[in-house]
Amino acid sequence: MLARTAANLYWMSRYLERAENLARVLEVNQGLAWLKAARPGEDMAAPLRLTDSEAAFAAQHGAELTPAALWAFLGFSAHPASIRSCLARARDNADAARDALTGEMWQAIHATWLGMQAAIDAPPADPANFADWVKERSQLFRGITYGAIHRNDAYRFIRLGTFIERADNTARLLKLRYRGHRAGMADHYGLMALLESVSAQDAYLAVYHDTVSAPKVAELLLLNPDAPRSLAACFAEIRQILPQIGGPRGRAAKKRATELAAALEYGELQDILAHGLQNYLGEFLDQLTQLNDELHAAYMEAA
Amino acid sequence: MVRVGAFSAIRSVLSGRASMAHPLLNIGLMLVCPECAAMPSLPPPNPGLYDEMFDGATPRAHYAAYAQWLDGLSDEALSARQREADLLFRRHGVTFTLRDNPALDRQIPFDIVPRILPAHEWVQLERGLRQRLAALNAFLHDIYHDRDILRAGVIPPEQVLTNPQYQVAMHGLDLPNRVYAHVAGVDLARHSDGAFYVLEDNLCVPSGVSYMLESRKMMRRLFPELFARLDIAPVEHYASLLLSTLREASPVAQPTVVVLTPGRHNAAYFEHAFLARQMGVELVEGQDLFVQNDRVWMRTTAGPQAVDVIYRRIDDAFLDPLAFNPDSLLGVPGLLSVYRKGQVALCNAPGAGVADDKSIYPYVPDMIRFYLGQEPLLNNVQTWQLRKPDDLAYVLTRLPELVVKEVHGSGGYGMLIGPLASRAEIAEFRQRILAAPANYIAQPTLALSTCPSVVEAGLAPRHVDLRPFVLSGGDIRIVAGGLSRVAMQAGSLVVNSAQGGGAKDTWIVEGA
Amino acid sequence: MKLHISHRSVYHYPERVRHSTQCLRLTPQSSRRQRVLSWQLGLPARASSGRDPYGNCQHVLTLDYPHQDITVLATGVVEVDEALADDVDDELAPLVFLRQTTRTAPSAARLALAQRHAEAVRQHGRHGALSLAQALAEQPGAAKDSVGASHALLGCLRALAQPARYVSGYLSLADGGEVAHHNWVELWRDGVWASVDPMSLAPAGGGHVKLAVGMDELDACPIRGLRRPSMEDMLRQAQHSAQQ
Repeated sequence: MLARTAANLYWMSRYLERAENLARVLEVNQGLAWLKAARPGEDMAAPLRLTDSEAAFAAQHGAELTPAALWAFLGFSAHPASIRSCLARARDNADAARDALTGEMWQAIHATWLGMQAAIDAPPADPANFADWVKERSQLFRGITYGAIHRNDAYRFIRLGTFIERADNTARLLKLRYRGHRAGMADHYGLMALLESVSAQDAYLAVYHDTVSAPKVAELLLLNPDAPRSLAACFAEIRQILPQIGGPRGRAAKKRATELAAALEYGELQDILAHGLQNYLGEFLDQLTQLNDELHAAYMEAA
Repeated sequence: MVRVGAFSAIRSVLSGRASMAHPLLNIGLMLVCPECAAMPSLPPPNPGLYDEMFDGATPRAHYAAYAQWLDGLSDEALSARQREADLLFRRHGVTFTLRDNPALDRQIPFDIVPRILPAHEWVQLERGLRQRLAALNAFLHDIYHDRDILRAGVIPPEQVLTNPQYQVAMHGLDLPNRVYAHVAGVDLARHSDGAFYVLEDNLCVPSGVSYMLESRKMMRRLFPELFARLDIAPVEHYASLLLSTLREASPVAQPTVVVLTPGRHNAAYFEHAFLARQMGVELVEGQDLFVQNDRVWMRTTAGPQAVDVIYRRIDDAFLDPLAFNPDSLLGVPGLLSVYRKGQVALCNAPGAGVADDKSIYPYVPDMIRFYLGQEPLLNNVQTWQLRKPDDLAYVLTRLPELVVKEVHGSGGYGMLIGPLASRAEIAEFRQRILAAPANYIAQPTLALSTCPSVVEAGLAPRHVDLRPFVLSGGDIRIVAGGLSRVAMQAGSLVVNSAQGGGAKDTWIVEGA
Repeated sequence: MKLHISHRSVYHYPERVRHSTQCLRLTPQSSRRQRVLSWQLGLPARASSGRDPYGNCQHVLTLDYPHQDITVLATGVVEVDEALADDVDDELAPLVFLRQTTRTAPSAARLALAQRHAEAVRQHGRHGALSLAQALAEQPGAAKDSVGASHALLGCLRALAQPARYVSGYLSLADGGEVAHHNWVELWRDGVWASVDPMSLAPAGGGHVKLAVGMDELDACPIRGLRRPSMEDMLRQAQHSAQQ
């Protein structure tokens, strides 16, 4: 497959996944609005810190953090990190790789873009509905991809984009929201919000049958291969996908992915906590960036 | 009653050149029609013009079954189908991109009333197209080799050799099957005399075939009952014919074929992706290819892979920045050096455009006689060449009636439409002609035929032309029909892209 | 006259590039007036050679790995018959060389000047062209280099319906002196290509070695290249060190 097409497919699915993750984060964040008084600004600003757009937000909306302003900025504005921009870029990448998509896949992503444009013109009264719509569209696309496309390299680069982006998002959220040593109501809700942001509240209960505690949340999202958005689950997929890509290239990426996957599969939470979770996650994100660069160098560089 | 304007004109939806001008800005044809009016539901007779469906008030024989079916359909039902079609096209993302705003995709208006031709009439057209393409390819081979037609004095040598479309790079190259124009989109129009005329032979990078195929898909979905009732010739095998044609352009046994696009901001990008997908080949941009050791390579996830045939949808000037336009980022540096060694095939061949130049068009009937020893089966539009003093003198006295075109111009910039021009415009254009007469040709204004089309108030006649696609490889292959282009807008003098030049499905019907 | 030529070009990109493709017209060919006794190109990688549309010897050099510098060395010995100022070849129909390019298309002022020499060019060919070249050189704002002067002369000759082509080559400036890259013009007259050097205002002599011909500089220049990913004009630091 064409190197440029691989890049287009990979980034198409990264942006789509990013839009979905951001929708989930914004939705959960809105539910936390009442905590604002207890922990001024901290949780409300999480979506901005996650997308590295606090300064841009302040320039446009001032210091006042309201759910409505957050939605306007990270949902509908032309800011590069917004859901709107993510969907536009997903669609542009899909358009550039249009010959590699099935008609159904193209129509799904094109219709999402048309829907986004309609939402810009008439923003929905209830942002939660919009968040649901974004998640639905992303899930629909994944479903169509799973059901419609031949299991070729196109399929593999699309899946690769999904899991790399998802691992990135989970690691960032955990880094942002994890508060290991404090206790109290606010932390409880913060942890719940974290679980909800990665759709892991049910998984948590199923695994631990217990009230939320910080170490267990960390263990679930880092090491549990059955929680769909855990780092272990993402890397179990990535490790499987990489050797299936045709051709001799990508040794460095394959090696790094295998090492990361093994470390997550056999890692122990106590070692991670001893090392410091923030340190661990910082190093993990660096590794992820390097993996992304290695994938680009091996497969996706057109010139 | 809806008034339909005194004059209307079609702008070609699509042109033969890929990236020089926006396809929709190319004024392909001009027409003048008497004032006519639309009745709800039934198109009225249209005096002085040929209507594809009606002869007076009676449907023509090949439209009888369709007209009968249409009679049973209410206005509301018709409008509902039209709306459904619009929605489907939008959902499928069948678009072209506006040149002045690349971020904006525009949908090609689609009309659900088919343009029907009886099979016996199509057979005649097809024979004429085969003959014409055989002669045009023979001409191209000749002018890049021995130049017999120039030596014989049939065409003045400077008309060909100083033409900007003549590519010195093609000199002496031997192409498989001696084919230069592998894909041609020949624009035909029916005049008020009922006969078809060739308006233009588009031999560079003609587009529009995806709209032909999408239109058919749409019609099958909307009107399965009509396809069950009528014997309509299929077009869906076009992509497989195209792939065979492209493969035959290479001496290699199992050649690797790619489609080369200028990128997704090109007006015809949808079509490039569509054809690549239909053929199951890679859609590449210039940046995906490079040249090394006398081969062209594409960058893939598994490393460089050799390419044997490039179906290029970019113009000659942009193919190779080291041989042509040095500013072009669209092409492949060094491509021409590999091509000249026969190690890659380009379809269509560079330099094919000299044969569809307006200054060469008047000679096509002579080419047919010269190379094939036959009389032309398709009509040329009468053309005055203003480099000839007699033609110039005649045309200057008739400017208000004629269309004057710039010979190498694409796009409607260097053009005078006499019947639509003011006195001042005619006077100004006369000066331009006098300054460089050899740059212009003149033709009579054609009265294009009409075909009923869905408008807000029901049906009304709209002008149509026809672009069949002719594939030349080891054989000449043509799918029955082509793209019927329709001027959707009435009342405006020139229907421009933003006002909508649209498409219709074309049905070649047996036993009609 | 025997000329020993050594021509070294160094191209330096401001940043490392991943890929570049160069088109080289750096190999002279034997013809009626020049005989190539020996010639060698020193290149950083294997290049494929062939003939370009104008019959010139052309090498395509592709470097598909990260690099920042390209050095090209051309060396050899060419014997020139100084008595012959004209050349023959049968590559292309001379009429092709009536076409103007963006580089040759004459301004209105030059066109007017050309018209004043129309008769001389029509009747006397090369001598007419030489007087035209002189008139062009005397115009205010006349080109000071052989590229510009050749383009100006070509534009005028073609406007006068006189087929003419651009020549790129080497010029030995004086006996035992420097050899430099140089450009001049040839016009089609009586079945031969007659040379006119708009800088020396004389026919090509014993010091002119022809490398390549074309419609204009773009077709004939010794090195024309492009790089990826960035295609902006590359910073060219070409150092010509040549000696006889």
